[in-house]
Amino acid sequence: MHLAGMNKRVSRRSLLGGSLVLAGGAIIAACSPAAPPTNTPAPAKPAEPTKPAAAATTAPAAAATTAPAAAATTAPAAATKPAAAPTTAPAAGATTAAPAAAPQTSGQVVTLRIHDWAQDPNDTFYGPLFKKFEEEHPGIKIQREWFPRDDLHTKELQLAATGQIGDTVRYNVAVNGPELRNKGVVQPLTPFIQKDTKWAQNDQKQFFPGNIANYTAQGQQWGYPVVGHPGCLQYYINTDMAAKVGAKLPDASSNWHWTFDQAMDIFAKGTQKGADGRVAVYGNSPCLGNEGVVGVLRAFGANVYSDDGTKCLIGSDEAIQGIQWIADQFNKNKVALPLDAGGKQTDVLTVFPTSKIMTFVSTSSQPGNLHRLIGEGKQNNFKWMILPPPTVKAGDKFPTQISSDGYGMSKQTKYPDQAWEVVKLYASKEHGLNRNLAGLGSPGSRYDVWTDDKFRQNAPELTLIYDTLLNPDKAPPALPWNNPANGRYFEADTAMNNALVDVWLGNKTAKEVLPELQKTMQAIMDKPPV
Amino acid sequence: MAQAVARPAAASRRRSGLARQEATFGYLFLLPWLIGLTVFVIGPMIGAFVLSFTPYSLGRPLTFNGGANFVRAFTADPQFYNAVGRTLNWAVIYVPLSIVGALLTAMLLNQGLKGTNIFRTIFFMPHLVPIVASVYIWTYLLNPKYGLVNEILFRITHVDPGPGWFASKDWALPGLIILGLWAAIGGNQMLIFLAGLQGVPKDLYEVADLDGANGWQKFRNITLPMISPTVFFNLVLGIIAALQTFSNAFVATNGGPAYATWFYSLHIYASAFQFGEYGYAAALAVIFFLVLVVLTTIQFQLQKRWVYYGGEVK
Repeated sequence: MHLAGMNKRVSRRSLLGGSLVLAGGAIIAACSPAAPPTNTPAPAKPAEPTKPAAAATTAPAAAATTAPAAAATTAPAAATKPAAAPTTAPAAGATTAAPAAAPQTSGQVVTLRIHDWAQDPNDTFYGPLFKKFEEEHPGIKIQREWFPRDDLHTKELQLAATGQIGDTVRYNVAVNGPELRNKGVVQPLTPFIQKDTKWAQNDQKQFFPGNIANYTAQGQQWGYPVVGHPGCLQYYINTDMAAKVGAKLPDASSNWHWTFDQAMDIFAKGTQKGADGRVAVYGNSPCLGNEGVVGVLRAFGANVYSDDGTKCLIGSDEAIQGIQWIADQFNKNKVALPLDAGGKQTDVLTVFPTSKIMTFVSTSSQPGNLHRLIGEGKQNNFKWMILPPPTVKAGDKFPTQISSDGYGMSKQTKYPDQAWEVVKLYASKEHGLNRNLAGLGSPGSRYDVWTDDKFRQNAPELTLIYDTLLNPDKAPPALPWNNPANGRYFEADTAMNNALVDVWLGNKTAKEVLPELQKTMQAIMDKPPV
Repeated sequence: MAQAVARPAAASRRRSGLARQEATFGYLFLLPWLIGLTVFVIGPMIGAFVLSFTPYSLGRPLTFNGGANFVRAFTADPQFYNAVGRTLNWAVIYVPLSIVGALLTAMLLNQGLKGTNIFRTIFFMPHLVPIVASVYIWTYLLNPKYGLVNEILFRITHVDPGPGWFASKDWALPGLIILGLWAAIGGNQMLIFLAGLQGVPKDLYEVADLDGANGWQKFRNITLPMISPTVFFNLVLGIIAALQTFSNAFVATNGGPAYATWFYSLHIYASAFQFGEYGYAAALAVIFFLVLVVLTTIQFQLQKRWVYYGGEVK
């Protein structure tokens, strides 16, 4: 083989130089912003981008509220109260700038790149959902760019930093909000809410105010919760076992209230030894980490973070009492299932269905899993329910901390009006309800999801949680998920979890650990924004 | 005659032309690797070095802060020395155990006994199991309450509760060492030792037998010196790998409980990808790189005293 013109001597130096130039070029090319999505002519029926918006909001609602009239009447009633709560923040911030002008797209199909984490492996839920959305919005084509959940936040930051972020952005968890805002990844939604009167007057009032507060800063709303629940403070109880061991559970006569002392007694009764003298069944498996401890701390009148996210409060006397109560379950009273690898809660789905624990504490995401594993005709068959969390004194306010992950609009989008339609889809009742019914996790963070008949039939155990912790007619508004304002939630959380393990393991008391931990976490919160 | 002179000159020109062509194609074939090396190894290394002098976080402008990250690591990071200490502990225990274990296994498999190939395959299998899968298996086996290991221990000792393993501050590191050794003893190190052992001339052992040497004397005076380059190779790579340990702890314990398995690589990872401090993480990586360079250089200096290379005159 002979290549003409290639017989000129190539030195090592020139080859290396050439390689570097090539590599440099490749890097620059890779790092340069991607070309904006191209518009392709619509095959038929050119549509005004904003027009389908109205159709989109009504269609899902109409589809999802085919439930009996009873549900239809409760939801709006429930929704009237919270309307005055933080959801009004966007309206108050009426001085906000109008959304960026959208390029002229009339008669063209806009391709929106949307980000989310990889889920629904068989595409049985999201495939039809987006297909329907595209049919209702002929001017929009969805291009999904999904990532593994653990990588999602970092990927979105990387894409934004290199000018390649898509049009809509998933909040991995609500506490990523400060970082996404501070770094200009997402833009405020308030102008879009104000412009979309139908949405503002209907859907906007359906969200739990405490949850909307998590997405509200500087007088603007920056995202919507996709799913939400009142926190990792819901007590799943094997009621058959409780009856068998003579544990008296709270009931309607006490408005479902129970105290920490009563809870500890119940767990003690549930803790049973086997024939070999070892504990065969534990009374409880507490939820740990920030989401878990807050449910106890708030009942004691304490908190991990201040409402504005600038102060760590975990060193208070009340917090010490709360943390020690959790630790006593492991050590003093020995009623809690020992920790698993890394000092975490053991996978409850392997031990609760097999009756190795009587109670566990978790979020609202478990009923679907438990129905799959427990029930008539299944290997594990017993009755269970979900109770609201205990309090210090009977009748005290139930603690709450609304946990959620959310959805927002990229600041770099060139099609904000169309992107707004996708944000609304993710925040819609249709998505929040059907995603849960499809077994893809927690329900939407909306009154009309939690009061929907289909949802209640699917997870009847959560009705009590709704009535005691979320229903604005019966319970105080559920509280937001406080987090460091500088966006350093995971840094503070890592410090907290590692320090608290010493308390859970009985190596130290809460009093010995928490004041020092508060200083450590405060130092993290005093750092510049991440 | 003139023809006779011209022929070698033409031949020489042809040869040099061929040599040039050969070199050109050689470089062409090298090019993909060179590009890969530049883009994926040298480029990121230079990038990390530059980042180490910045407080960079994704989405923030690149500003320089001098050596502040390095100062912070040594003076203001509460987990820096903890991570260094844990990693050194790990390396000091794990490296000798893995090397001795791999050597013993290789020697057993080098006996030429019946079924050796089957045993070689069996011993090598743990090395082939994906790390995440093997870690999950071991977290189940070492579950403090329901794990098989503690169940066996209870049946033997009747002591309850047994070791907390990955859930215990004191037992997490031993648990990871067991996990690591399970995969390492029959793995690459063993294969390399096996190759080294098979390269030892048989006649040396025959001579030793004639001289009446026992097994230990043959191992001490023939096997060990003859495979010392292999031992050195495994030692250098073993120490580097041990100091870089990450995956097992990341999957099994995520550095916990109470930072009990918070290794240095985990500290770098967490600083960058969990806490968003890419500049600081890059500084930690630069420090780590320098430490590895120094350690490896020391090892190369020390090897002159104990590593024997065939044909070398000392």
